[in-house]
Amino acid sequence: MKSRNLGASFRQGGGGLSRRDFLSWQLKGALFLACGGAFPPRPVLAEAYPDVAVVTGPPAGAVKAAVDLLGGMGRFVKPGNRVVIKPNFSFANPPEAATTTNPEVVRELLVLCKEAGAASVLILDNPLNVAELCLEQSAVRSACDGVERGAVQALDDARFYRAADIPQGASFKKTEVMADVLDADVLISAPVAKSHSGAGVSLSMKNLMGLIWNRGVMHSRHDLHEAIVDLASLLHPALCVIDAIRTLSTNGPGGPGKVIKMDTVIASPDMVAADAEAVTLCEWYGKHFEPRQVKHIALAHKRGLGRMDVENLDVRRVSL
Amino acid sequence: MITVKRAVQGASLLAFLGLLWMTSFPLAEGVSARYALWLDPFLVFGTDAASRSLAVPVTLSCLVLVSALFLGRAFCGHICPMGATFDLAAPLFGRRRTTLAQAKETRLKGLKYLLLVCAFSAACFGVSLVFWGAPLALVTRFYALAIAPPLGQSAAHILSLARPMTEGLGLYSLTYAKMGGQRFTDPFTIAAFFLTLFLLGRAWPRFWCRYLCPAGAMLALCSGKPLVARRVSGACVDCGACRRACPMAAIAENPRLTRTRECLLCKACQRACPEGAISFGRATRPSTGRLRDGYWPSRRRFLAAGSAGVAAAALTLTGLREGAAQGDAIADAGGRFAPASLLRPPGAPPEALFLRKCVRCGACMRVCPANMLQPDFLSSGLSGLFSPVAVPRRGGCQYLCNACGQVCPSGAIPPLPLEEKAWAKMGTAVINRQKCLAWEQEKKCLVCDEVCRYDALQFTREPGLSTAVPRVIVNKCSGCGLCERHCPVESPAITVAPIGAVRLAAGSYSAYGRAEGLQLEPRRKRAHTAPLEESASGLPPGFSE
Repeated sequence: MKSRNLGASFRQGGGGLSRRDFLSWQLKGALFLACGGAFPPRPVLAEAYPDVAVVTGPPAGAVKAAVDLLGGMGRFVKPGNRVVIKPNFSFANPPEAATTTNPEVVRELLVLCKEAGAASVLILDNPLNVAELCLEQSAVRSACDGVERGAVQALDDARFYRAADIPQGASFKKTEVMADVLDADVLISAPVAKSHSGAGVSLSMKNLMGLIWNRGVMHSRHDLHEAIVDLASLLHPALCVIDAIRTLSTNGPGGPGKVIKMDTVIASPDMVAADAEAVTLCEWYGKHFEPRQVKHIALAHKRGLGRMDVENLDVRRVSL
Repeated sequence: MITVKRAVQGASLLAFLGLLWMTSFPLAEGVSARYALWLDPFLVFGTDAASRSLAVPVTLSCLVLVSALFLGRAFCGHICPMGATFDLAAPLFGRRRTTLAQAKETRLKGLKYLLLVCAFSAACFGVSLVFWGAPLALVTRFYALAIAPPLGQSAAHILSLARPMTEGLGLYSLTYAKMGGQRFTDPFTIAAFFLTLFLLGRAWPRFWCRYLCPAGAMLALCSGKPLVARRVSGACVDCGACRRACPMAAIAENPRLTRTRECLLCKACQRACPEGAISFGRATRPSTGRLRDGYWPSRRRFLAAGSAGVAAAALTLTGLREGAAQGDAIADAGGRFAPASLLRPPGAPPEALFLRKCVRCGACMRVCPANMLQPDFLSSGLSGLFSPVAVPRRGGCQYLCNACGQVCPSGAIPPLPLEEKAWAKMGTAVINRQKCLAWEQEKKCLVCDEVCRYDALQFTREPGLSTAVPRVIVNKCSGCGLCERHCPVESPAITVAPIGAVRLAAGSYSAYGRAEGLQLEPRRKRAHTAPLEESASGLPPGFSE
């Protein structure tokens, strides 16, 4: 996902002091990438940590505890990394409607990323409603501005997107992704747990649809579930933190529907496992379902993007 | 050279552009370009006369008219942003040397009075021609619809190029600045109109202000004997330099005489005078010679202009599309109709009244955060030219926005509070089943339902179809058009038609809607446990066995 062109930068070298500073700053970023970003801690270390962390408690505390259970944010974000957090603030509704990610959850993730030494943290979505209204109503911007002003952005202009191939796409093979996401070292998917009239549930994988410019084709030209998995194969978040503080149990994704207060946060580096755990844990339309009953989760499992058999995984549960 | 005139004019233009800039969502304390629009006496009195109301507040424009009693047409020379635009364009387009014959030219000067008479006689019959001539409306439309979008796009492009720098410096507000998102239909006509005036300005500076401007005519009517005027001392040598310099041809063949109804007090003559014979100040005899006639149209011409206004009104009122009265039972019975795509902004009164009130300034289009409001180009006839139409495919009307009504200078879109605006039904969504992915291709597409704020989409099982298919619940649909905007079919399968649009001349939209059985309450909760539509197997939407 890294596309900083170092060669080109060196060729341009020899300018004034400010340019030199700029280049050295770029070089440092590249070194950090070489040290950490290119080799994310995978199997060997993962043994020590649970596959999924489920924490019940107040939003910020639950996020921190869940990420700590997984080895702390330092496991995912190395100093100097460029991080994008993708919450859901696609609707101009207040947090109580459970159609958008809890602002405290997002804020805590921002704090954790900065503490881990991230060079930049952006909190991005391409909302369905007018950006300004979504930013204001969801309260995500006001919550995060206190930590870093301007980190929350709704990218509703094509100039922020860049064409990208989906090499592993079965049917959805080309799209336009936020340039910031393509250039980022770390992507964190932070959805709110909600039902979805088309996709069954809208969780870590469905959430990624908010990072592309034209999501309509995922409905019109492709099977929605397959397209979700194709897109997930490209964007593949390093960490998923599902906000189940309030879940929208019915009538998602826009609501209004039944909101259940669960005070829970589900975190996992495995997007399929995170989504599977959320499907199992939460109530949907008054019932409980198995992950395989959501087609895109079953498909993602089958294609090896993660594991939905949460019963065989190490799921650590903590109540604060 | 920085003169008082240029300083004042520059500041006024900047203030106007500032107000226009602030006419964007979210509005700061209701500050918008309408304060500037209220300065225009032709806009204000013309609209009030045509709509037989005090829809537009008269105070500011009265002040402008009163100022003419003291300062003549100083407003045109110093305050009016339309005039400032011509002065700004003049050096770009160049100016041909004014011959003394041109400086003498006065015949066309009566035209503006004739246009004024024409507009007011049409207004007597309830037809507004204000939008053809109100300078503040024209100039607002010009900057908002023809200048702002390309400038914004260019700025966005520059920001893209400058991104490595702004990003490196951590300037989020620049990196992600919202720029150039607005697009409008047919900016060419608006630009061509101004381009024509700029080109005419090469030979006849301020062509518009001299010959055409009806607001200028109203000010001229008050400028017969202003307190402050041009004065010429005995040092004058009759060289004619002042006559060549005057952008308004306001100086008579005898350069000691001034046509005060034309004089902008711009002092171009004073700067041009080699003898320093010209000054401006309290009008005193004999240094201020006033010339009051020579361009006053004949009575016959006035009658002709008045008749033209009556004819324009008659044609408007008897046309098929012209002033089509949507929702006006009596006029509808007369056989007029609105085109099937003509959606008006939320809360717009019945069509005939709407067209009387709307001055086509484009402020609503500029402020619309969804870019849904677009200038109409001839689909509602000549009488609807540049009036705002809602184009849902471009953007859906936002539930939490009522900015168009807040910025409208003339109440053509009333300033409804959000709770009322929710009830101002613009139309009804209609599904074209042959295009719909669910109906025709049995795809599990539910985007229309996903984005609907009013719960107006119902998904039902139909015999012979494997997927649930959408239907519109008519009394729950506000016509906001979010479904049309987001329909993934290239030519949308769900579109809003002006069916059942609620357009009231007066009274409460919520009371009317409730009485009519509409269900458009803001934030209405639906029954908690009722699934959208269970499949045959009893599973909620999106789940499988």
